[in-house]
Amino acid sequence: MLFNSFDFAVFFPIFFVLYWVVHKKLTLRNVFLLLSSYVFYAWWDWRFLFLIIFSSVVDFVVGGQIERAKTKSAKRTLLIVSLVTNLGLLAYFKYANFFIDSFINSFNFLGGSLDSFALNIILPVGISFYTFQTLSYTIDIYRGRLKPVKEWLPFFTFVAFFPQLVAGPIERASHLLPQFYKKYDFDYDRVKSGLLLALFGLFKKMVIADRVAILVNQVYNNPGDYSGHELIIATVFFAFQIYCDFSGYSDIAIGISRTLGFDLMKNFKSPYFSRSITEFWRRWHISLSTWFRDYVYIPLGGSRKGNYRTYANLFIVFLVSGLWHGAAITFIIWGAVHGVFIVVEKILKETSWTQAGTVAKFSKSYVGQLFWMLFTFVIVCFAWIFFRANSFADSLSVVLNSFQFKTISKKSLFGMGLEAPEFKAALVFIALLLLFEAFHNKFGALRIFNKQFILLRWAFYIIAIFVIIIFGMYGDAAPKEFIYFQF
Amino acid sequence: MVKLAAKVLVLIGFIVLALNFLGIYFIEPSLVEKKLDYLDNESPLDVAFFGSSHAHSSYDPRVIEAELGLNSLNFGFHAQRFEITQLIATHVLEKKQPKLAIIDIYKNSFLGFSDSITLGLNLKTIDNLPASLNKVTLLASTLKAEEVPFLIWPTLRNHAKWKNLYDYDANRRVYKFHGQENFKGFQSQNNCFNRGVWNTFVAKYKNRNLKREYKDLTKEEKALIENLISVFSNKNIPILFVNAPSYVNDYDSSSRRYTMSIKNYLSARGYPFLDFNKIKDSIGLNKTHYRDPNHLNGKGAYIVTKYLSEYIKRNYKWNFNTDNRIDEKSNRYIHFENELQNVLYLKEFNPYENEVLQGIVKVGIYQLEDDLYELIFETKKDSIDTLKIKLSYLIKDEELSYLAFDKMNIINDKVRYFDILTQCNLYRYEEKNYLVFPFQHTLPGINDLQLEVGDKLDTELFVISSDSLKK
Repeated sequence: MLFNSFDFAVFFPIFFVLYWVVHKKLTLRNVFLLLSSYVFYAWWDWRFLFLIIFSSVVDFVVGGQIERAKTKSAKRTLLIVSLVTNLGLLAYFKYANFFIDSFINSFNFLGGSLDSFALNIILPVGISFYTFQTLSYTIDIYRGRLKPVKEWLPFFTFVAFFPQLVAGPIERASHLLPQFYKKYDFDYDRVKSGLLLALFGLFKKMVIADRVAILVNQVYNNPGDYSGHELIIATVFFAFQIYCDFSGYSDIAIGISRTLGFDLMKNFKSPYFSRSITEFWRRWHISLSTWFRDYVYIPLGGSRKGNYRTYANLFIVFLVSGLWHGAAITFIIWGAVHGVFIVVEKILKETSWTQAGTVAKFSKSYVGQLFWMLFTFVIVCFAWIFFRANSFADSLSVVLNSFQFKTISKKSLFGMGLEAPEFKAALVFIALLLLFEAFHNKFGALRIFNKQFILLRWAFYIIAIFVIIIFGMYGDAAPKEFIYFQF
Repeated sequence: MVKLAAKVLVLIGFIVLALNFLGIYFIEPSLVEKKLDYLDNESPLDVAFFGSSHAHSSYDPRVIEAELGLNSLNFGFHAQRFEITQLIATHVLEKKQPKLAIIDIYKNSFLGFSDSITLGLNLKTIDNLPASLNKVTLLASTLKAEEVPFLIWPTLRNHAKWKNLYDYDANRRVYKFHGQENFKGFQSQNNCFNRGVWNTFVAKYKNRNLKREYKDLTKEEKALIENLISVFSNKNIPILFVNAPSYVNDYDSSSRRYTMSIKNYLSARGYPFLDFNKIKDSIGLNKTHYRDPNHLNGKGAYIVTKYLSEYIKRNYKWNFNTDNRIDEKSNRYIHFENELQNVLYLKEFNPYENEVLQGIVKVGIYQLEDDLYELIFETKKDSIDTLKIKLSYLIKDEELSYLAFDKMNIINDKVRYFDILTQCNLYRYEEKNYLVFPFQHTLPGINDLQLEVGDKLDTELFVISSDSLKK
């Protein structure tokens, strides 16, 4: 079930009312939450529900067994069982074809002769997200940072909690799991702020992401037909498409959870205001980057084993992050680009000339901050080319043709799939979004909004809803699914 | 929780209101809106026609007025299905109480919304009807639940057309009437179909099974008829079912079967059914009376409506007073002959001019509505092989800017319209021949009308100056 679908518009109000009817009895509430989450997931494909249940059973049992195991090696064996099961499922469903393809290509490259073939595998929606979430449970128990839960119901509900089941935020068991043991009373202000956040998420998804997607899809599906500013515009639009799409989903997920009394972690903090790639990753997909930090980077040694090892660890983390996003060479290159820049930044940060003198002074000035912001945005956009391109050859074509400048004309601007009013609307909405984020970061928009006169607040609600109704992309022609569903 | 529920309900209320209010901007301009506007006219409604394009092409209220002195409106809309007829009828009866409802019924009336084009045409119709429980119930029972909000509110369905808010068409509600007959819901063209169209039509049905296999109407089909009947019977309005002439009925066995089943069912229910397909030859219809094999042209509609008027006169014992014609201002024939107020220009030619102009006796401009005019030629000859008439007029700059989306031919800032008038356009009314050419524009925007009569080698030009038009 998609958050931006008619089905969800019917499902959620019914669910919401019933949830607050049963909320006082904890077990009943969790049963209701679990069943609703299973219905939500089964709406897409009920067969893959068994994968979630299987994953839940394995990690629940393994988590308990790790706690009971007397020896370190037994604990480690149990952890390996969990890792093999979860990552095995992920590898099979997500990477089997990629590995087969890579093997055949390498074999043929070395002089062999194998026909290419692909397994007919459907990628279960959200498998990358709930796999990482359940892994965090067993790994934390193994590390002694978390006690296993004794009751299966809260754990199963934690794994399947529908607002964040299919596209995150990837929650840690230590943060979300205890919330299934708490009772929540209906809090009008929390519900209101949750609904407003969800509305903001819908705006980002339906008004911006799905609008610019039309242009991005047209250009990136036919990259050879475009050059110069057309490719640059498509790439910049993609930067906003993926941001609004994914952060929109996260906002809806966090907002909905908030209406139910739950707190999910923040997943985005205005990433395009970052002044370095390092900062970008502190603001982009925070739940994933911190997961990689805690469960990949630190176990690899983090920054404890000298500079070179640190650089290598950072680079490895970003390569793995690229692979997590998709089983294709383009995603690995995307991760590598970020990895390279992170390492370069780390090296530069340790050099004296960036820390003092003119460079440091410039970096601290408004102009300098703006410069680094734009510089970071350019690098991020460059990396997005590999992320979005349909193939490695396409990504190279986009990179090379972007430098073939040609005259900017109305025909070329409005001939990429968005007519002039749609194109201008996209620019206006992106500008509004950036202005809002800048304002919100500085002053706290919700706090100021809540102080306004009731008529003004209601006028805002109605206008916001109508902006989504009229300018939102839905119906037959609109892109529907969230991009991160495929990861 | 109660506070939230109350606020959400109020918010939903506002949104529903706003959806209804904004709907008008998301409806494509069409004749539907204009037809329904006739209901706001103060004059009483005597006869109401319902049905599909068969209905709006076949029954001309002008003739009903002239022959019976009754005011009538034609609520025929493209591809109208009985579910939609029921909605329109309910809406009409909320505003008017006609003496007689005439419902055109044939095979397609029962076909539902089997394809997106049919659904689109029917939605275009009901978009113009106010949101009501009837509408919601009907749509919910006929279509998928998730489609209903989109179908009730054009704002949702056509939201992506927000750009059109800036367009002239959306704001000025332009209808394209050039060369099209239009009068109180009656819509047709004055052309005849050519041999190519006929051959294609025949080829389409060539391999169809023509055996006459009778099948009773299904339970659902009967229910559709009964639901419609109940709308009228609840208000004691008599119904006359009719079946407009069409060559499809001759070539498609399924259409014939339906006609037979409909006739039997209505007969059993005691409702009259006038099947024009059975009598079309005897009342003088031939291929020149059709604009395509499935629809009559204006000339054909004149014959059919005249017969229908006689039928009504015979079967309904009302007091018909043709001397006191209800809305004679709108009747082109009466008006033209008597040079009444709506004839803005009238010129009678002398015998010499008459010869030069290939038999044209009189020419006039008749104003049908604020921005709808008809050029009417009275001709001497019974038959005209081909009379080429070019109409062009200059429009003012500010008017020109509104025509960006118009299909009219604009050459050197002059809107030109070209048409060939043939026998198809020739009407006989009270022993006189008329050629009618409808055109649309706001008259203050027109500077000079030019008429060129004849072909390139032998063209006579005369100009109707805007000064000479009656104000």
